Amino acid sequence: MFIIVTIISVLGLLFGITFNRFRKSTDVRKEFSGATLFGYFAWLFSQTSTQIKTFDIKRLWTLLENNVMKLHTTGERRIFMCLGLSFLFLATSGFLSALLSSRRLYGLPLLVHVSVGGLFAISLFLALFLRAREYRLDTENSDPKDASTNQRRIPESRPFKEKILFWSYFIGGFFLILTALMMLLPLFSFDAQLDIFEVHRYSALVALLSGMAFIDTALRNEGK
Amino acid sequence: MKRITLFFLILTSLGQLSFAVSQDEQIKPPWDGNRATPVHQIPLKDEFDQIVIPTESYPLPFSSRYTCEPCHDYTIIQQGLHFNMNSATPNDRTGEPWIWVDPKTGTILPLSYRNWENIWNPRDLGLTPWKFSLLFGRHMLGGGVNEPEDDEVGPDSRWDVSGKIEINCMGCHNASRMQSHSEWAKQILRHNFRWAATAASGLGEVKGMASRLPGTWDIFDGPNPDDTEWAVVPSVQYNSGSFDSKHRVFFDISYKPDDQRCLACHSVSQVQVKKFTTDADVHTRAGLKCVDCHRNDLSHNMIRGNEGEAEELQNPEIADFSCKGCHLGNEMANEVGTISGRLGAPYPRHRGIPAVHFERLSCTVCHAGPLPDKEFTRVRTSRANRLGIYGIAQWFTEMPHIIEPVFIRDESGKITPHRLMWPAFWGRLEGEKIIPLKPSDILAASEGILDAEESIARILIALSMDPEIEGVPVLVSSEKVFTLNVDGELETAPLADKELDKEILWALKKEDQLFPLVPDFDPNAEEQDADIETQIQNTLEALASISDAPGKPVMLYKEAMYQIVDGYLEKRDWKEESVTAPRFCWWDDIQIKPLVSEFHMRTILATIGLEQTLTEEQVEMMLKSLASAEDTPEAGPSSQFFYVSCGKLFQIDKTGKLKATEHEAADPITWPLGHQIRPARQSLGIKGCIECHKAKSAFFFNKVEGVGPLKTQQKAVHSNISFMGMDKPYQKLFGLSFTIRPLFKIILFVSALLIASLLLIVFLLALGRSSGLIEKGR
Repeated sequence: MFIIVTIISVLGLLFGITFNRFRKSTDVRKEFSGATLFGYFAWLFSQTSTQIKTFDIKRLWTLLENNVMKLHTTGERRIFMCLGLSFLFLATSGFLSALLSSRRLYGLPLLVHVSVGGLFAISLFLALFLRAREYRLDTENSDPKDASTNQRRIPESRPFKEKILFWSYFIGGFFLILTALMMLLPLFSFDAQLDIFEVHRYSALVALLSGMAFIDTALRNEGK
Repeated sequence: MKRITLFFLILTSLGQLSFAVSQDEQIKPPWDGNRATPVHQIPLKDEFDQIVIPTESYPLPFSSRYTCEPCHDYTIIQQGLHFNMNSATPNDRTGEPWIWVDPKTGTILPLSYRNWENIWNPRDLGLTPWKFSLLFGRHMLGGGVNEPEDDEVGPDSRWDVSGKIEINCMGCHNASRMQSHSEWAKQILRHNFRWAATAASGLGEVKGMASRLPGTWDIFDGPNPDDTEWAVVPSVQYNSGSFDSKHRVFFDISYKPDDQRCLACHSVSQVQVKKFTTDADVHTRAGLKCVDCHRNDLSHNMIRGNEGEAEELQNPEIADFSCKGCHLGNEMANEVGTISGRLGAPYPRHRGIPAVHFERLSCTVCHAGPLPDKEFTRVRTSRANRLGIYGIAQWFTEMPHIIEPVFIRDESGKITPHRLMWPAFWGRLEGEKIIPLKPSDILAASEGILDAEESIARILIALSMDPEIEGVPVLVSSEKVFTLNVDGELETAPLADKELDKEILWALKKEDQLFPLVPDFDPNAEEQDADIETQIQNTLEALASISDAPGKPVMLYKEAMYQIVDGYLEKRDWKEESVTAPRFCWWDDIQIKPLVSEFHMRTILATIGLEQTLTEEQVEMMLKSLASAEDTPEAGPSSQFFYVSCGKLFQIDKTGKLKATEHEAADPITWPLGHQIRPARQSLGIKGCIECHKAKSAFFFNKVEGVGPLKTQQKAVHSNISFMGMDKPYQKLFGLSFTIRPLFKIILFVSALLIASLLLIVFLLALGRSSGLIEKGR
């Protein structure tokens, strides 16, 4: 069940993100028709082949630096790098074993997965501590179209969609840490442990989906 | 008229037929539903289906087949687990094999008619049902190989003399405390097969020994009035008080056998542990009997209770009686599954145990057998070590050396605790094929090699036959005193009086003091002490009674030789060497030989008091002897003899020396253990994860060293982790990670707490703003 939900949700999100970009880049009308779909796949194919042909790690790093790194201090950059890389590793190791193996994560990958989980927990808290203020839900939401182009100044508030995605990611991350901790403690019965493990997996999926959507949204908003 | 007659004839025949059919149905009725056990006040029948009348002059022993069969189909019961060993076809789960132990040849050979890996089929060794029954009938229930078909009897068998061992129904179902397994074993060992059940049940007293009867005797010959001392024909004297006026006897039958009946053959006990400290299985303490789980119907195909048995036998009902079935519910029974809790089985919550343990480990890893410790636990089992047979002599054996728990990944992929034993046997290599040799084949080629103990024992026995001897003859050598025990075996004790420690000294033990066999005297004196001369003569005459001696007995002292010539003690000069103390030897008119050869003394000194009975020197000599024997069956140039012990295979190499190699024939034998089950509070892991998961845990890293009858430093060593098929460096690393696990939990806890606090603050602020309690920020 989890595998099916994961595949459908991830593919669905990727479709949504890319279709949205396709619509905005080609001024396609909003209705969903066969011609639109055909056009979308053609656009996707051409975009993908262009990106593969022109792929350059330096260019990617420059993009990252200009749009993300320069907006933060050195310490913040390290925290976000830590968070990003640890989450990337945890997601890769976790989802690959879930999707491709009949047996759960085990052996050395499991040992590293759990160890990196500790790093993820610390960096998640620090990232939230640093960024919670600008994503607080009790302030007015900014208009993405009015976002400042000053690269050094972070806007004090974020668009509502970004806020929701931000908090979804951190709530998912919180439940990841909480369920990992619960599974380490000698408090829960075997049946409860199975349920906790399921919560852990679905929390990871929520975090992954909201993380992907957040990055897409934030990058688009920064681009404006 | 003829038609009417014919009609009535047909009618009568049909009536008789239906009557006969209904009689058959009445004789073996199905269970009517009454849960009480019927009172078994029934006549005894002998093997000729005749009622036993106890007051007859020579009543025969009762036959289980004919006594019980009127109500219980014997042929169906014969297919049961305890009786079908030589006809069972499926390769079922490995169990404890029969172990053929012969200390003299250093043989510890696992045998089974079932198709189990690394365990030898008795047929392949040339073991007939007769010989198998003699070896192991002491702990068998009869039937099967003990009750062979007539075409299975061989020239060496004496089934006509002893009778066949029928299924001993009373061996399990007798609730009377008079049922004696020890008596059963003794009757079997006396070859009183047809009498064993009668004697063991306590219904009658059995005298005589079929083993002493000539091979031509059979039951129709009856008793021999001319021999009432030695070859006494077995006879039964029934307790006439147990019979009523109709010659019926009351059988105290239990439908569900008492645990005592099972434990007679299925006891397992730790060595060097006192009986009063041992705990019963937790299920027994809870009031369950063995047969509450190990059930069967009339077929006696008992449920073994291991996981996977129901799937293997395609019988969902028996899944109820595995650990999982009782405690967690039977998922196989139907799609929905049945609820757990049968027989009051508690539902285990298994708090804090990651789910992977239940996928990789069987229930018995944590709950059965002794807890893993620095050393493996050595145990004895009824069938391997001959437990439960009581008498003046010691019946149980130290070998085979069985240890537990060894954790092994079984066929289902789950780690399961096992018992482990190292085989030891002589054999022949024909290319890649291993052919074990029987102890009798080894003994035939072992003259002068394997009889070190006997060579000393026969001298001590001969000396003790001297009617005028005062004291117990002993041998003193290397600060040890060798004496004979009641079983005719050598025992050793440390020498207290160091002054008596000569190279080899034959002495007498009187009231804990040792005296030389012949005290010091002057052989050159003109008049000799008559007592000393008498002592010398008596000793020489005692030694002369030994058959197969390598010469005639003489005594050397200083420059004199004393010998018996024509019944008189004769002294002659002995110039070859001057002997400083009286020394008894063999003299074959050419050379002097010691009473006990240096080889034998060396062997005895190396092995006495130890479980090991062979030295490498003996093995080397034995292998050379086997290779040179001309009448060894099927010996050819391509045959190479070997000896397996301690996990190694020993052969003679090209230089003529003994070499040890690894070979699968030397691999240990293992079988799963299921008992004793410990309560939950004593399960493995109750103290925490580090019971198993640490860098030096006994569970993973305990080493099993080869053990056997051979005294050698060349032994195989395996570790638990190699049996489990797991990666040692990873498990060590994983074990180390548990040292920082508490810190890791603290990090996770603090992080989760802080994140939760921030989330709560944000949530409360949002709630406050939206409710208007807090002004919206800009």
